[in-house]
Amino acid sequence: MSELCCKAMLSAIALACLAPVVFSATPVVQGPESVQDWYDGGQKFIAESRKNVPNNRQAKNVILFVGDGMGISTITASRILDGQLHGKPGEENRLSFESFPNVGLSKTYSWDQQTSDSAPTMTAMVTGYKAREGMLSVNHLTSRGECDASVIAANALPTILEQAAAAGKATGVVSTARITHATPAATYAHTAVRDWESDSDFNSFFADNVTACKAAGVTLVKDIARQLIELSPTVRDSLRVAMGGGRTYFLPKTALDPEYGTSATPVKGRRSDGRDLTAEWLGSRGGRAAYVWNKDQFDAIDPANTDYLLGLFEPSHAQYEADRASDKAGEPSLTEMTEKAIRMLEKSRKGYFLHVEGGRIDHAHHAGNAKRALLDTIEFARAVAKAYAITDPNDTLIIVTADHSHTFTIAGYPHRGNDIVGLAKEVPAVDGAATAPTRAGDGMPYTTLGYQNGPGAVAGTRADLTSVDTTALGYRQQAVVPLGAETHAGEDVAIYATGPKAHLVHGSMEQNWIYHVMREAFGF
Amino acid sequence: MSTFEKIPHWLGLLLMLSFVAPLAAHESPARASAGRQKVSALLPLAARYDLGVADSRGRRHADWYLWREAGRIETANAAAGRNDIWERIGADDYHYRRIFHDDRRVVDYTPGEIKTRNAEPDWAKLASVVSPALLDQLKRRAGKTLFDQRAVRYTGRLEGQNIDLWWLEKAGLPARLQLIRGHQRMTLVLRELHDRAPAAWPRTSEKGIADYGLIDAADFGDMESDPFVARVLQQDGHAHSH
Repeated sequence: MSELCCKAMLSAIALACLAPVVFSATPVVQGPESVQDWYDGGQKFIAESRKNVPNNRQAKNVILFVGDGMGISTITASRILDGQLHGKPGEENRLSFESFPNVGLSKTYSWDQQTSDSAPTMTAMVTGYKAREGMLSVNHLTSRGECDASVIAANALPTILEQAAAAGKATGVVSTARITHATPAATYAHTAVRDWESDSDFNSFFADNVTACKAAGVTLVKDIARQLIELSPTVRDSLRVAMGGGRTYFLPKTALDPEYGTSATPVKGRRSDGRDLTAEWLGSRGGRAAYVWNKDQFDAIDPANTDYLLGLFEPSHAQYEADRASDKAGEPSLTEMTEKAIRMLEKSRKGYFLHVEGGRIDHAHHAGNAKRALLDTIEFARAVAKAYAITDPNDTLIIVTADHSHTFTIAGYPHRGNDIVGLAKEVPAVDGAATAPTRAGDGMPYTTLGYQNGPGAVAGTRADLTSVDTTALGYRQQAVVPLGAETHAGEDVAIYATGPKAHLVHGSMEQNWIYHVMREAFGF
Repeated sequence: MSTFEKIPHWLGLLLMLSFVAPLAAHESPARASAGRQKVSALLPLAARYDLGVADSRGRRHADWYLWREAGRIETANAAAGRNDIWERIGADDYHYRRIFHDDRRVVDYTPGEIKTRNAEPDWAKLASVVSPALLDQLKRRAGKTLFDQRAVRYTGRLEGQNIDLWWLEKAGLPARLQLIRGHQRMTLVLRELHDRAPAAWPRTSEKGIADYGLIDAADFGDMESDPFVARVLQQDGHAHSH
């Protein structure tokens, strides 16, 4: 044997001796599962899936949940955060609706937008037609800024809420945004301009069109708050509950806001026409109608003794879930509003249609503040869980979806269980080694969560996040393109469904097909 | 919108003059808390300054006003047609309004929106125009009497800026401030100081803005097609990127 060969053999033996030492180190990052758990989990899924049979019954009730701006990355990050808040790694967690049996993808483009706003996307979901940017439940032949009430009436698209009302069902709308905001408003209002929420808004948005309409002597389309109060007789009788934010859009400018009217700069109503629409709600809905604006009043409402309930809990949007506990007058959570709404509506023998919006997910994303968006998504999932728990899946179709996504990403190669709102830390290259923040090309760490654009954008040298608490509630993730507000994104969003005709939600769907699933379930 | 909206953003690092500064250049809660303690004894007052900026685009001057009360601070930039109102409505809750007179619009930032933007202000800086903490980083020099009270001169160089400040100790305000950075120069000269502001000063009245359009800043992301919002967003985005 040559000397070279002997040396090679000795080297191989030495390596073999060393190898067990190197590879036996315990990985610092470990999931909680055994090897068998993975296989068993798959088998359990198959066994449960075999039990899934299409429910072809007609739906007595339909609940449409919309997480505003709740793209798939938002769902993923929220599920991880929710799991981590319960002391788990997080990735294996499921939000309530992620266990629904039927899932599809929704294409969210509108008639004229590649990436859409909430108005045409919600219009698509509740009318069955794709529409134009900024317009609520009117067809795409409607001119931008159209203010002629007769034209709007001619172009109006009937909504699933209105059709449910015509079928004798009870209806309701719940949101953490203003109840006059685009998503909830699309269910009951018809207008070319989503920003015409109170009559004062006619002076600020498309004001030239309004002036022209007035000069021509045509009847102006009603503002959205007024439309909620002055519904057609059938829909007015049907709409038993409307809860959310947006109180000042219903109050005259002469009225002080009941919650914030005594501050140094008092909050007042917005209406120029002098009308108090909350009083008109009470005056036009019979003796068992109620209007509430704080948590104590909300808690005091007994659905058994209340036929119509209007709840307006903030002058504008409701608080973020993260801030709700510190609200001055107190306000109910989305889960509490959802339960109260269902208790109000389930009195209807013919069933009901309910829309519930998690409206502030979108706003927190626009501000580039991921943690508030995720906490609102978690609360949204709780509301879905409550609705599922107190309804009968045999007669209630529940659909959970989003109107559009955001430019929100989960990036890098963070290890299992890495704090989802923290710095990205990879699985160490060597088992036994500690985790450490991954360094980007500029030598500095970065967060797992980020935005493609928005107020968190940095130019030039990126801030060193080494000593920054990126898990803080108010932390704004870094972004690339500088914009004052982060934008929506155009990729598909998910649709989850359970209950009658839920199996019709499948594959790649146009967003307006969601309406057709609900209509088919109702049997209209 | 006036060119005075385009005050160099670097000024915002020290001052509360730049219109986005309170939203872009906040300080840590601990430091803000210290500021609250320092500013708690500050007297209500009203001040009028001459604000001058000189840079590659030439020289501009404008009247700049400050109204300081317990829990409420308002400023006005007459040339820009802008008023800003900050209110402290709780230990860590603030309410902010930006008033755009030329556009007849008010942008409203609720306490929740301010927190979401991680933009809780340094109240001491708002109340004193210059952060009192800045004084500790400058060299204290001789004093003299200005506006019937003791004024002390401070000078130094911070973050690339040469600073020359005459500080009114009782009022807790600058009597004169000059910042120089490269070819950019900003001067702030106190012209009037009152316990109560003259009625003619351009302070916001509720009646005066009653017919202005009111926009919740949380809606900005959904209103990008509105020309006014688009302009403000473009400016804010520009400011935040530097």
